[in-house]
Amino acid sequence: MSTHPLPRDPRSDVPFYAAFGLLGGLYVGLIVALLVADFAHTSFGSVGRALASPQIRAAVWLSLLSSSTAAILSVWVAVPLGYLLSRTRFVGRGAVDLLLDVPILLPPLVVGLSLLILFQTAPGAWFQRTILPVTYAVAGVVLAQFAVSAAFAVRTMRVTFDQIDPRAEEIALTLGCSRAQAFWRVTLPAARRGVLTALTLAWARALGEFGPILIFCGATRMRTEVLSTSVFLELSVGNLEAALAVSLLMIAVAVLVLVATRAFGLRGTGLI
Amino acid sequence: MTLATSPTTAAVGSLVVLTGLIAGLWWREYQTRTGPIDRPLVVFVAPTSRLPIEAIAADYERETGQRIELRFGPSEDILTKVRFPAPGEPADLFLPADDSYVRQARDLGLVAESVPIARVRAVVLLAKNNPKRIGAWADLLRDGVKVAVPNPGAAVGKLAREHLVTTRKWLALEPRVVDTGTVTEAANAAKVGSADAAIVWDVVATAPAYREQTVLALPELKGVTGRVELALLNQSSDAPAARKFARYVTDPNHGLVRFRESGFNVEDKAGGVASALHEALAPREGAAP
Repeated sequence: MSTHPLPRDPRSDVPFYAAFGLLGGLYVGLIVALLVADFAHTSFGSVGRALASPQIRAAVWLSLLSSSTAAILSVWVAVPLGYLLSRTRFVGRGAVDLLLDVPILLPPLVVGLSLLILFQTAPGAWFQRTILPVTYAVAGVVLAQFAVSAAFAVRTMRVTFDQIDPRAEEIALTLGCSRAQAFWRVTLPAARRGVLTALTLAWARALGEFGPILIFCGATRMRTEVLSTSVFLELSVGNLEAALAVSLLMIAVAVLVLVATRAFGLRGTGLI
Repeated sequence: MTLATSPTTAAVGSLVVLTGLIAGLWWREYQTRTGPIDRPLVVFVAPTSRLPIEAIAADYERETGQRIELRFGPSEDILTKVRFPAPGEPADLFLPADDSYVRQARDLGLVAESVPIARVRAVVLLAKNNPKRIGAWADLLRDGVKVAVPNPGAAVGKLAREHLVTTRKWLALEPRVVDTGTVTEAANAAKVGSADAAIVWDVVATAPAYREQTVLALPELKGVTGRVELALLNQSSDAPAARKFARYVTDPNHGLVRFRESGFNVEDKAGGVASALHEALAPREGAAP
């Protein structure tokens, strides 16, 4: 049987790419249109006035601190959990896998309400009395962000470990490494880009978190107000200009993080 | 640039950064933390009253040194929160968008006393420049007109619907209605032009953010009224201080001035409101914890 490839006319690719480009371009165009509309309805003056407000500046700092804390905590949870889900089979694995989708699928307000109820229960109340108050407190902001962003980080780490061939780790075991040493010296270095992606996604998700924070921590100015709740507070009095200015600040920060992430070489990993 | 950091360095580095971040958050919380002596009064407020109550709280803190912590949220949201107070951190006062939420709170056994602040009535807020040339109720019924009406979860949405059904005007308006979640969302829909008009409370329509838009007080909505009420919650851990602040809020020379400045239709018997509050609550002062 002949194995010669069939003759191919390169011009036949054009309609294919044109159709796909058109369909994909619609979505890209929508994103661009959204950003253009936002920029067209605001001005540097509005952004400057927003930044001049002590309440907004406090919200910027709290957003940066709490999102970063939630993101790092998410990665510390996501690496072991993602590894276990990817490489091991244990009783209840399916249930754990299902549970991890709950924070992603639940309406954000339900996450907030569930946190609020949790800390009304006897163990929750005890925790708040003796260890750390979280309801309507800064710690609650981090917890609300962590509750959702960790689920995204775990999913990312699981995909990362799924993509790493376990043979290298097994070879390390045959060469005398313990399981922990093989993970630390072989698997984790191979997963470093996934870790950074999980960190970035968790950070971005935490920054955009709104519903759970509003329900669980309120929107107390200068205390538990983050950027997303600033948008809500300004919208609630019809101050669309300020709300838009804060939104643009959030977009700018998110773009900066994505650019920085790409600078660390994540492009081409299939994860970002 | 590539990632060449060893796992140990990255792990230790992340822990160091995490410690720094937690220290930063702790310091930030410490700055605003209050002990049992200087515990602030906690007031749950609907966003419609945000501007006057922020000004009143600032005035009060300056004059008395008593800290006021305002927590904002939609009325139904803050009602949930006063139902589930944080352990050791009960709420003192409740100022929702209108008295329907105070009634609900009272039915749940949460309210010790409540005092009216202002009357609100439903009006029609028109889109900027009024492109559909709306000037009367009949104009709202024309083809192509969109009227934003808050859903029945918001008092104005519920009361307007009930009133219009009773007066047999709802069926004609309904095809033009677009539902919005809250009264502010309805007003914002008119502001950005996604609706040609919105049925909202007058106090919302006259807020500074909507000053470029026309407000119509139509006879068809005459019966749709409500009241802004301040409720003293019986979970308050410092009822005397809460009452003192409530009196300040309803004082014609202090709080009510701020409400009037923000476009609220403060009741004529404003002084009487403050007196009524004092009389209603005074007998309990001695028994307060």
